[in-house]
Amino acid sequence: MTAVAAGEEAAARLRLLNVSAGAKIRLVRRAPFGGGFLLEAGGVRLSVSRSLAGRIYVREEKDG
Amino acid sequence: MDRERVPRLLLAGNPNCGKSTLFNALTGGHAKTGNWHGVTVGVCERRMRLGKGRAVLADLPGVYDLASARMEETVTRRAVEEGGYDGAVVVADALALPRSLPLFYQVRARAPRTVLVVTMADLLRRRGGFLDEKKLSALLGVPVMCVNARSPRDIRGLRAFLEENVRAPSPRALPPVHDLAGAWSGGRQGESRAERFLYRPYVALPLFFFTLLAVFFLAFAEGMPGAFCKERLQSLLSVRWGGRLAAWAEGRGAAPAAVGFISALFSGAGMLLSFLPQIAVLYFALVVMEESGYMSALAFMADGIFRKAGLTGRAAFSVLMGFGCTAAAVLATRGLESRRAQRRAVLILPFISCSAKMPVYLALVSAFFPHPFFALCVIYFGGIALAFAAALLTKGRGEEETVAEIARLQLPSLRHAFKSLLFYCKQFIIKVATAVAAVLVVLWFLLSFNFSLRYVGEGGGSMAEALCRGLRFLFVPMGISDWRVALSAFTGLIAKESVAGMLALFYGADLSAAMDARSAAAFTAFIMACPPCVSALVASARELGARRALLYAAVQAGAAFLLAYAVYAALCFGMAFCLPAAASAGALPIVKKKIERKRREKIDRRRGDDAAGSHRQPLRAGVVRSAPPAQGKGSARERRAHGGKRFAAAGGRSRVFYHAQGRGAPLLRRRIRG
Repeated sequence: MTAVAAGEEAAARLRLLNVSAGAKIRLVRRAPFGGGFLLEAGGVRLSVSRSLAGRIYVREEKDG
Repeated sequence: MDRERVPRLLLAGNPNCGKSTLFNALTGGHAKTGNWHGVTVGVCERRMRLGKGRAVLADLPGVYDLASARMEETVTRRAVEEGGYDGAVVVADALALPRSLPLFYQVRARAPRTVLVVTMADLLRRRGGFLDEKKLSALLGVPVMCVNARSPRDIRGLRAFLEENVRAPSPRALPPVHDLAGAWSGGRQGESRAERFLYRPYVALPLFFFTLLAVFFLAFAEGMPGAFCKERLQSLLSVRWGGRLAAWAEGRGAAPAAVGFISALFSGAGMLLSFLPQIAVLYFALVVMEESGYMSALAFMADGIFRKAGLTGRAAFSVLMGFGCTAAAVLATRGLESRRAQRRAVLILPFISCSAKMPVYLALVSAFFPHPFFALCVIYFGGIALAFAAALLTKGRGEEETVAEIARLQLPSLRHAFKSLLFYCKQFIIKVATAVAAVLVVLWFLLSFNFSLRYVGEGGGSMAEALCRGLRFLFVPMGISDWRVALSAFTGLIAKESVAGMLALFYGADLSAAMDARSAAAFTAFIMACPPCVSALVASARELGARRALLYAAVQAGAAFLLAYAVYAALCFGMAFCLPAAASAGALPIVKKKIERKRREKIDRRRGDDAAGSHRQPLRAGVVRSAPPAQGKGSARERRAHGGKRFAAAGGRSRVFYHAQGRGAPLLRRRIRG
């Protein structure tokens, strides 16, 4: 993950859930009906709303 | 070491790791713990029991890194470097142990004796991680202990641990490690098979729907535990005890008012407390679902649908509870993300027909409509549509940006569930039942006494009757002009079932004396939308503050009347009414947009910095609370209590400073361009 362009409060919450610059996150699934996303970062599973997810910038990594 | 001198210990750790909770538990004090950064500023020292003697424990502000130049870091660094203490206790949060390591090593470099205390290990286990105390101790070179700050047994163990180690020789320092593999794991990677199965839309939503049906069945169906207990309790309290006491009083020649009061009191208490078994069944099911992570799954899956109405997935659960009991649903809105979301949820909940409205619907529908089942479906879906429309109408500007942890699917701890259930029942009785009882007494008074304050009982001429003779004019546009219908609707405030009871009392099964079919349809619409019973009102008052709850009730009453008039007019005049009505309904969003634009100039208050600590609150329905209790009622009181807090406008365009003395009015308004 490279950066989060969200407000301070949301960014702080994300950091506490292991989602910060340089962290490895994995997209586990998408919620149906246009909902959010289920991410996994460092053993923590979190749900992120669509708008917030749009502000998390990631670089894709291929793992073996 | 000098035995007479009282040993002094330092308590250090990251912000928000439960350090102050531990401090309070060890010293028996009630220092303020909070969810935002910088609650403990300055060093708080207190005595604690240590073995046979005493010690002094110093609670240092939470910091991440001693090297930084901020105030809290400086205070902590100075305390650690100055010496004059016998040992340092570093408290770390098990969920984020690696983050605590830098501070731990910094403290250990400066302090002669350091121990590590790890909190929240149970939450780590829920996440699928693990912690091995012995291995960690071997890796770090210091004694390590896991503690649950809320368990008295753990605190006793901690005291023994501290006593043992404060006098022990300091072990040789090991080089710092950064990889805790083998000793600690943050959480299980990947999904289990059960999770992969459940998190499919075609599995999760129908499964949840059926689970809820099963729960309602257990709670409300005839012959099932919930209804059975309800009957017994009610008959015990109202009939046996109340009846006997009333008869005894009458035998002793007490005034009819007193006798009436006694029997009313007991029947009221019977009715109230008979709610308890059913609510307990509902609540227990909810706790089990939440503890097992099932509720997290639902909130995640339903999030998409609810966002279209401007709510979030967490509201799904309150809305579904609303089909059982509005009061319980309102209490469950605690877990919603923001106060604003909670307000909107409480606003729309009464439109969802609770199970108590069923007898009323049945009475009206079976008297007038040939196909009751079809009519009932129309009514229920109408309620849902109305709730949806209300949610859309009150939808705010931006989307709620939520991020929350999702719990793993796991077997719930039944013991914990039962403890939680007992606590909830106690709270219900103390908070809700007492307030409701007070309101019931007032209502009984209105129903039994006339304006010269003489007791009239069932006889007629009571204040409520006079009130309803006046109120009946509100029902005339529905085609109803009998005051007795108005009185029945009024008693709906007590409990929705009593509307059916009163109607039966006045008219028997045949309601055509009171209204015709079109009025019946209008009256049904009224009951569908009208404010909920007093239990739900009290619950709303608890969550939102009395003023707002009453305001919402007034809005709902108004909406109910307007809806009933519209239904009646549509049925009477047909298209001649429907077309202009549809046109004005279409104009409503335009009006709303204008109001929104005006609102944009006002300030939108946000809750204080609740980021820290929220990582420990997984996505839950709000039924179980492990966090410290919520802030005070209403934002006005909040502002006065935490004077001088800053509130940022949405979008960050202007910052407004509030001061406690200013009574919440903005003192300065600074606009930040860009």
